[in-house]
Amino acid sequence: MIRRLLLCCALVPLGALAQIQVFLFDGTNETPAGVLVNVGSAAPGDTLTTRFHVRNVGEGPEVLQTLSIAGSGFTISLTPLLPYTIAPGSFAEFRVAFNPISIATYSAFLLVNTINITIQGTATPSAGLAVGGSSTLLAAGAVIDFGSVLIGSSNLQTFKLANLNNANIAIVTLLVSGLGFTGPIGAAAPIQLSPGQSVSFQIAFQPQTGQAAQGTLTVNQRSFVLTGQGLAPPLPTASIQLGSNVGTSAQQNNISIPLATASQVSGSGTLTMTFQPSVAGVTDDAAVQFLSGPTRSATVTISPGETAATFGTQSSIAFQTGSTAGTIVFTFTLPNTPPQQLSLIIPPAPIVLDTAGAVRRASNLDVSVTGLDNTYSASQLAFTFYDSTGATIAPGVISVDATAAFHQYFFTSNQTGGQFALLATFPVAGDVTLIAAFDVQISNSVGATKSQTISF
Amino acid sequence: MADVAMAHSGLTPPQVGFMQDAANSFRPVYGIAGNFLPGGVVTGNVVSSAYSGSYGLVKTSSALLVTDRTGSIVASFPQPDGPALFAFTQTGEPALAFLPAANALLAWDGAAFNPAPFDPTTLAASAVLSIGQPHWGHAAMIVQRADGLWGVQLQLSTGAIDAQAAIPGITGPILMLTNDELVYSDVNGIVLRSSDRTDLHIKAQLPASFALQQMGDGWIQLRDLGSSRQFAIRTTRNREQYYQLPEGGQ
Repeated sequence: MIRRLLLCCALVPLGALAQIQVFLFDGTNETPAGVLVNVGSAAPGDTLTTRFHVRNVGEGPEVLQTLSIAGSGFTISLTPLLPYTIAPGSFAEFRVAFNPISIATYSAFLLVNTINITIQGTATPSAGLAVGGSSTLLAAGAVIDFGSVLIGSSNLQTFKLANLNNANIAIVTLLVSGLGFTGPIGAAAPIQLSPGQSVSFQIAFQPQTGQAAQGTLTVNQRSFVLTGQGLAPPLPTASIQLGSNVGTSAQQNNISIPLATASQVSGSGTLTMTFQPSVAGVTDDAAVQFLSGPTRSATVTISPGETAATFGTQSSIAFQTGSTAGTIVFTFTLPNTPPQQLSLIIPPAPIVLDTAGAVRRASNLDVSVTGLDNTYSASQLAFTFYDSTGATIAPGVISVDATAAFHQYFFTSNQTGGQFALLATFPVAGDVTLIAAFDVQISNSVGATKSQTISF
Repeated sequence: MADVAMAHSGLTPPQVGFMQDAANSFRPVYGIAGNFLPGGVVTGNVVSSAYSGSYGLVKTSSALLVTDRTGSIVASFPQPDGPALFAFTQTGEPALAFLPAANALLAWDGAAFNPAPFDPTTLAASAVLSIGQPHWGHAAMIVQRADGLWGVQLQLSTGAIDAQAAIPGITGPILMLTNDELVYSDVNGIVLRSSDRTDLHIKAQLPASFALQQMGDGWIQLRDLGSSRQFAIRTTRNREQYYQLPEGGQ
């Protein structure tokens, strides 16, 4: 007895025996590997992989130096780079692949440092699976790709199960799982296949989202991976439509985005507006803006079934054209779609008079006029005053060259574009109450604008 | 005889008036019809506001304010939280303020708001919708009674009702202007009813729920109570139109 113990100590380092242990690992749990490990059964041509952990259960580091397998049908498919030092409490993983080529029982010897384990596996007859008209049989775990399919469409693939063995095969499980995959169509387990007999069935891929899809075809114990790519239908062609295609300053217009057809999918885009003034020295006009939300950008939503995009809950969005001549450019952008643009030209125009009025003071008359000059070139003012009979009051037309004043106003710290409020004071010699009405004419580079006769 | 010559002129940005924006801030609106630019915030926490073109009346959560045409506060009176209705004189000066929560009618004396004799029970109404000052020494109210809207005129010195008449066929919101015009809505948009009872219709798609308040001389603000959108109604004769005010920058 003492002699046997000494012999054992001489053959196997005591530390190795005590600190290295081999476990089977199922992805979650470890179970100690005995001297005999049966990896199970696989069909010829299939690969059955078994995961092992070499765990250091000692208190000091251990080195995994030897990892080998000897025997037909078995290979080590994954191994750490040897020698590999395993810290106390840690482990190294390796995998053994069982890949039988014919129906038989297989065994091999696995050596982990000084630990010997016998590995066994069985190759069992199974029905061969082929896709479409191909004669190539698929190994378990093979990926069958259904390609890219539009939502609402379907891709149907035909499969054939054939018994290429000498004995009957019972297909007790024939299942398809995975979102978007349906089947088997045309066959249902249980199926008895005699030698040389085959059966066909189909699997449909009908994507429900525009995402990648994965499913599983299970034939008895064998599983095959089904993949496909769902494609969202393209958004229908959209256009930019203005409420009015005639651009003028101080205009409130609206813009909508009709779709060529009802959309099958939802989408979101952006409508932006930019303004390029045609007035030299002017870079922008802050009043050119959308009237809802951010000034120059709007979120556009396309909903399934709708024939027009929406801005929030509205089918159109209002904007104003400012008070500067130039071009407003709308750009509609959808993801993965070339942007669309539409321009609205605001042509140079004579001065627009919005309000005009006068207030009598003791010996003065204050005339106020508001309006816009989208050319920023206002120049000549001409005022004419009338009495209650409509007769012109002396000295008749009072002309003033206001070019410099307007230029200074428009081009110095101006933040309101071509808009202006003009207050002109007229000293009156005589009875100011005799002045009953007036008109005003203001000229710019495009022409002259004359007000109506304003009574006050 | 009169003889006229031009002495001088000035150019400034035109101003439509003052608005109460979606964030309940009181701010100027620059521009002309169809081309509006909101200016910087004058005051916040606004519950109710109105602007005549010369003066602003603002009820905040804690005070009643009087502003000038620049938005500067010229008078401030502590008041409890709650809305207010306002009226101006025909020359645009402050006239009246009505505080529904306190059932208080305040009259402007040129320097301060003072309580006016007022017994709300004499109105026999569930709500006061708008107030005005059609004549010196009088207050006008449009009130909601069980049988519809009524126009009621009170003597400011006593609070006694000296005239009242039904306003048939109209529901609120409604706004009484200084020139006795009424602004209200029908299914097609806005209606301006002049003092001679002729109606002018302004076609507009109105929000489901809104409030009306004066925002300038010839301008009414229509506040969408269900969204951040704000609108303006021009009431100037022959220039009547409905506009949307920009939200941008608010």
